[in-house]
Parts: sequence; C-alpha cells; structure tokens
Amino acid sequence: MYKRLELHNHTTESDGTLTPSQLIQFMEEKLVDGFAITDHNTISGHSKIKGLLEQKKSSISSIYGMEYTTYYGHILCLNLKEYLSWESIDYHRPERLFHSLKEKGALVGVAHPFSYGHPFARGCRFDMTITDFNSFDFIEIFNNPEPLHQVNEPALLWWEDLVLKGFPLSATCGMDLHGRWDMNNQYATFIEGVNGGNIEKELEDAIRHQKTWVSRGPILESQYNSQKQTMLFTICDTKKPGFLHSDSDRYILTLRSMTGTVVKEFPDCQSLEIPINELYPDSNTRSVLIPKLYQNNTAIENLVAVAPVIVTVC
Amino acid sequence: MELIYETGGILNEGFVGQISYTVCLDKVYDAMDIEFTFDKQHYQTITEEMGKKTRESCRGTEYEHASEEELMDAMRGMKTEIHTIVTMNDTFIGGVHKQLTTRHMVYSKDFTSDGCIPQERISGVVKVTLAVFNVLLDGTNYRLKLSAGNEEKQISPDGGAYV
Repeated sequence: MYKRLELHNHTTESDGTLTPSQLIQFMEEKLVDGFAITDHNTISGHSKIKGLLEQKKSSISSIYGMEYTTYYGHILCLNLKEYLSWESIDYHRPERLFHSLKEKGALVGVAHPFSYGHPFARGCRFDMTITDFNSFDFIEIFNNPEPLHQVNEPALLWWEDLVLKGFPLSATCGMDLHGRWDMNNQYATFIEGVNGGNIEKELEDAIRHQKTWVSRGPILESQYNSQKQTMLFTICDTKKPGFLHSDSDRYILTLRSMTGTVVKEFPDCQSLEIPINELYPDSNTRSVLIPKLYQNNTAIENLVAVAPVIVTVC
Repeated sequence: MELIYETGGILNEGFVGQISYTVCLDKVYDAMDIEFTFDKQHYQTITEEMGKKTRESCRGTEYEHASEEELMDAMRGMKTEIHTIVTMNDTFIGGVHKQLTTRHMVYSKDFTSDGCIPQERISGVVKVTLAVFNVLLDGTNYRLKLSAGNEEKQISPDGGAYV
C-alpha cells in the first residue's frame, strides 16, 4: 500500500496554532496515514503526541522530528530521537550538523531552500554552502504555501540537477502547517508501506532508497520489462481528497535525463509503455531518469506528481 | 519563587549569534521560571536613511527590484528576532520560537510552557541561551530573570505569572 504522509507541521509548541491534540485530530480528519511533528527548535511536542496517540489508540502514525531553524537556513529533521544543539552551525560547513544528526539515525533534509530570506526573514532561505551533497538525505521540493515560481520551482530544479549528477537525494514536500490550512489539491509525500507497519522504518527505507513520491493525488509507478525491453508507467489513484482532475484532462509523462527530456502522452488515464531505446535516444550511457506526471501540458502549474528516480535500467 | 539570577544587556543592530548565561543551582527545586523580555521589536518610524540602508542590503536578493511601497511594507513587517533555548545539566529542556517580547519558560509539576519539556525536578546547572537572529535597532535592551521555588501553587494556571 501507499501511505500518504504530511512531513512538515508545527504546533503551539513553537509558532503553530494547533495544539498537539488538535494536530492529530486535523490529520485524522484529512485521512492522512502518517504525519510528522517538526516544530521550530524544540522537541517538546514529541512526548505529548506519543501520549495522546497511545490514549486514543489511533491508527494514524506519527513521525518525530524538528525543523532546525538556524540563522542561515532551515533543516528538516525526521526520525529525530534526541535534540542536538545547532547553535554552532557553520555557514560554510553545514555538513557538520548534518553528520551529527545522521550519526544519531535522523533523516536530514533542506526545507524550502529558496524561500525569501535576509534582510526580511533571516534564515528562511537556505544560504549555507554545501560542498558534500551526500551529507544529507532529502530536499523539500514543494513547500505548499510558498510561491510556485519563485520558491518551489527552483527547489524542484535544484533537486533534479543534483539527482542527475548522481547524488542519492530523495524528494519530499510538506504543508509547513501552522494551523487548520486547506490541504486540498496540495502536494503530499507518499511512500510504500504495509498496514500497521513501522512508519519510521518505512520512511527511512523510502528516503534512503529514493523511493518517495510527491503528488497532489495519483502515484506514478514504473516497471522495467527486461524481456520486452520496455518501461511500463502506470497511474495509481491514491484517493487523496481534493485532487482536481476531470475525465477530459490528458496525462502527460516527462522523463528528464542528463541528455534531455522525453515527453509522452498517456493514451488513457492508466498506463503507458515505452521502449527503452526511446528513453535513451542520444546516448550510450543510461543515466538517471526523473519521471514526472502532468495534466494537459508540461507547465509547472500542471505538475501532478514527481515519481522516484529510475536509477538503473540494464 | 525566589529570584536566583537577573541580568540584562544591550544589543546592537545587525548582531547575529548567541549569548549564554549559566546558573549553578545549589538547591533542588520543583519549579522554575525563566523570564525574558526585549524591546524595539519593530521599527517605530522608518526614516529615509533606514529605507536606503535596507534597499542596499537587498542588492542581489529577490527584493532588489521591489517598489518603494513594497519595501516600506516589508520593513514594517521586519522584526528583531530572538529565540530562547534552555539546557539543564547539558540536556535540552526547552526552546521558545514564538516571538513574544515578554516570554516565560515555566517548569513546574502542574504546568510547563509551550516549547518546554516537563522536568521532575530542577537542579544542577541551567544554561539559558539567547539565539539572536536579527536585531533591527541599536540599543535594543533585554532582560533575563531566572527564579526557582518549591511551592507549586506559586505558578498560576496559565503559567508565566507567579505570585
């Protein structure tokens, strides 16, 4: 099964307006499978969420994290078991903090990297110089409330460029929720999991293996057929509430690689099979492919879903 | 509650960094209140010179081509931003991100402030760090008070205030 996750949420423990209890209730109402608590620079909500979920015997899963809110950028941290101090953050070497967090088993990502920053909102934009792109795990490619062209599109392109260079970074997204905000038709993160499975483990597996989907609704699956030498792409409905799609909307697949972008239209709203040689027309090198699903045309406004990168096709 | 430590200082415009205070408690307490206040959170008046200076610091950023009106609006929204972080015996016990110019970090048996982790008892070494993200104006004053006690009823139900 696919699990729909909301990975970036704040409560009254930092600057949100929902208490931990209200956050759980809100996520349950919105039919989310798992949510993270990622308050700014505090983990005080963790034990509250844990206690409340135990009391309620709720089936919703929780992920414990924090948004490290530093002078030079926000670092989203998931599966965080203990608070690590961030104040010695080095503008020129953020990897020091990334490594410390990863040593403790946390998943480390860059939140809203191109958000507006100094001089009006110090720290909101990620200004630090990263030299080791293996030192963190994911990039928040869509921070839903942020402007599409100025903030989210550059984040998506940054992630794509790094992935095409071979860095094993996953894509995530989030609401950056600070209240009862409308989540209809917004991007959510999806991972594979099993009913009743350990969400922290499933999230870790997904992020470490670049198996995250970022989508407003449907999931784009890909499957290599070695006998036919084709790649089959299938659209799978996740029933995410609020996804806007009409029967007349055409689905379009793009596959970006180092050598260019292949664009194909789905003949129906279900599946599309492409011969491998059409995916790599100009090169003997079979580089990473980034599959994306659009509605009607390939304008960023019509981007429906980003699927896990296809790393090797032999 | 007994006042254990009180201090204060003045911040200059543009300062980014931390100021930490460490208090060694020689008794065991069951309640503690850390009160932090600061002033000059926003520009009271925006002079032409301030506008020019801000315009200058926008060079190379997404605000570079903002109109005068947009710049003024943005400046009215600018704020001095200070986080407070507390550790006890080197363990994190709370952080406040909410930009309240008067804030309390209260730890007691009945109540713990938002952002803080409940503690069975207060003892040992308490370190309060002011993480200063932004200071708009020279001469920004701040005060910090640390009080502790053993009578739970001294903490009011809404926290913060104590008798």
